[in-house]
Amino acid sequence: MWKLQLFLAAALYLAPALHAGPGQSSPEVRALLDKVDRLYRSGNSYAELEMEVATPDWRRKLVMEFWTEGLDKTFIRINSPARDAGAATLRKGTEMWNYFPKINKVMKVPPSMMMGSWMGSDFTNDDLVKESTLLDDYYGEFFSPARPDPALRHIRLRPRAETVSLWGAIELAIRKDDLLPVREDYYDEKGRLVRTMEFSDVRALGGRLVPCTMKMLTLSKPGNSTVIRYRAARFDGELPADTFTLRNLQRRVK
Amino acid sequence: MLIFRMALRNVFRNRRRSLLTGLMMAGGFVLFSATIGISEGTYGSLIDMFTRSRTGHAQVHAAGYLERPSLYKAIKDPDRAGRVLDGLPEVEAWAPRVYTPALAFAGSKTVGAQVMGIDPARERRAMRLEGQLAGGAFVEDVPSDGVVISARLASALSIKTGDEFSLIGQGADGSIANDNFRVAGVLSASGSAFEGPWCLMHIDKAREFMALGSRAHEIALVFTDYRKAREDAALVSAALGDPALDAQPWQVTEKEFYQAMLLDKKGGDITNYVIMLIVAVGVLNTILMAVLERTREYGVLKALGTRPADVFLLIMAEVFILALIASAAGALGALGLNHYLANHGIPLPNPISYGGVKFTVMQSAVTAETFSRPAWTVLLSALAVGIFPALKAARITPVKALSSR
Repeated sequence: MWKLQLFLAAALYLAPALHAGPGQSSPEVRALLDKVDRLYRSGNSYAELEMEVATPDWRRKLVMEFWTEGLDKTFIRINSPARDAGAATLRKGTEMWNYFPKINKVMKVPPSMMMGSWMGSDFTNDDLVKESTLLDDYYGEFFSPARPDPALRHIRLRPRAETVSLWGAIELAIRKDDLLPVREDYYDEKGRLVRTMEFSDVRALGGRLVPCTMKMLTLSKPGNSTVIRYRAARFDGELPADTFTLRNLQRRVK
Repeated sequence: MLIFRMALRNVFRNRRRSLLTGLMMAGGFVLFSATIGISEGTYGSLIDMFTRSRTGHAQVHAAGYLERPSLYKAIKDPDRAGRVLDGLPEVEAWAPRVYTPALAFAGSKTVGAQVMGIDPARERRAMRLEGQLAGGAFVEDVPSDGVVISARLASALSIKTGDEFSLIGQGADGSIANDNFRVAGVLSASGSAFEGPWCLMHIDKAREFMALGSRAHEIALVFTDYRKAREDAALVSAALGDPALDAQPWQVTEKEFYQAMLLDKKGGDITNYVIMLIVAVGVLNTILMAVLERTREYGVLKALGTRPADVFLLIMAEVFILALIASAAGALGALGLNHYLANHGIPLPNPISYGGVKFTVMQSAVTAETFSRPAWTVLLSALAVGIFPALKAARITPVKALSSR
């Protein structure tokens, strides 16, 4: 009898280890994930873009400028509409701040709010400032969907054990010929599709070929969508030295 | 008929005894009636105080707002609704409002706040908001950055009249609502209907803050008679004729207050029944004494061949006549007392101040119920307690009765 108990105990002890799998991406997947992570960022970047948010209750268009350096520094400043002009977001390392010029107030965004909506859009704070990266926070493997498209490759990403993630899985579809992303599907822990991001309008931007339009659909909120369109971009150029500082964040725009 | 005549004669034969019994009943009547009057009057003042401190007698919202308030569930055209309300004679005054939750900042302090946009001129006609100020000035009639905050918000942010603070919230267009405000006045801590962290500002300033256009979340109504709130709210609903709008009386919008009041009223009813029980026991005592005193008399009646049923009816008729006369006298007395209490009231040793009014006297309110309920109670309880002595008399054996003395 005790032998059976010992066996059961051993089985229970070992089961998670057997189930956990490798938790590592293959070099090919790693290269692809890194490419997607850095698609719009490169070493450093400056971009002008517009964001159109639509909900059943309202619709608005923001025009903003976007600066990045590496994967851990992001600065966003809204230029229009007038009601929001001057509002800015800075992310440096693990910290993030929002600035509201009308009340001259800098608000630190707590880590618990990283999955909260950025300025009422379907993008989360995390999406915009990339606190989490596909490469470091997820591991991926190629898979074949129910209806495969011969022009696409599919990667299923799962959060690493140490990653605090809202997503149970992310499915990424990449074009085989130029390795540009076409679609990202986000699933919750129960395997339900929560939101979908579609990439389109592939053209040259700042000397690179990138999808210039991204559309995010939140499936739990019918009628909600957010579209980001890149108007112009410059990659790996010179950025002012004080770009990613709190002083710059509080700079009042004319 | 003979029995009735005998009963009438019996009542007036022993005047002192009848007067005592009658006084007992009339006294009970007056006491009961005054209690009901005072209770109605107090609840009336309470309802008036409560409804006119913030809620109004009824409220119009966009359908579904009451169940789940949302920035977006707004009355699209409050001006049209206002024109309809102006045409109703039952509506004395109305005031549009907007609401939104926000974060309030002052110095290093941050606290959640509830923003309420009001039309000061209209509120003045409908509510008693200004009377709830503890210090400073009320929201100006023209839009400005001057706001009135509740005592709780003032203490949470450690700010006072004249200080500045910021609010951040959600705009109805998806933007981040943010602006600076100045404390024009602070509401009273104890005597205000705004107990939470409230921030009252001009409705147009609030609409600009929330990017709400000309919409409103609520229209508070004051009727000419608060007692008809339910009927009048239904009337308003019908007059608005818009399925997207929902008019509900204060009993629905302030369900918790109403239910607490009903419960309190039930407690009051118990007191009333205890008073009636005391009166009934007193009546029983006097009638029983009267029957025992006349045992010989009933013995004679029985010996002469009166049927037990007739003896029973005779005593019941006596009790009924007495109760009727006592009720009439009681009603007269109650009318006088209630009239006095309605005009002068009972002064409260510790006046209560709430929602901008000082509650110094308990006044009586006279309705049909103030008289009908005591009348029914006196008549029915007199008849009920009469049964026992009447049965006792009906069952008397003449020999025993005649020998008793």
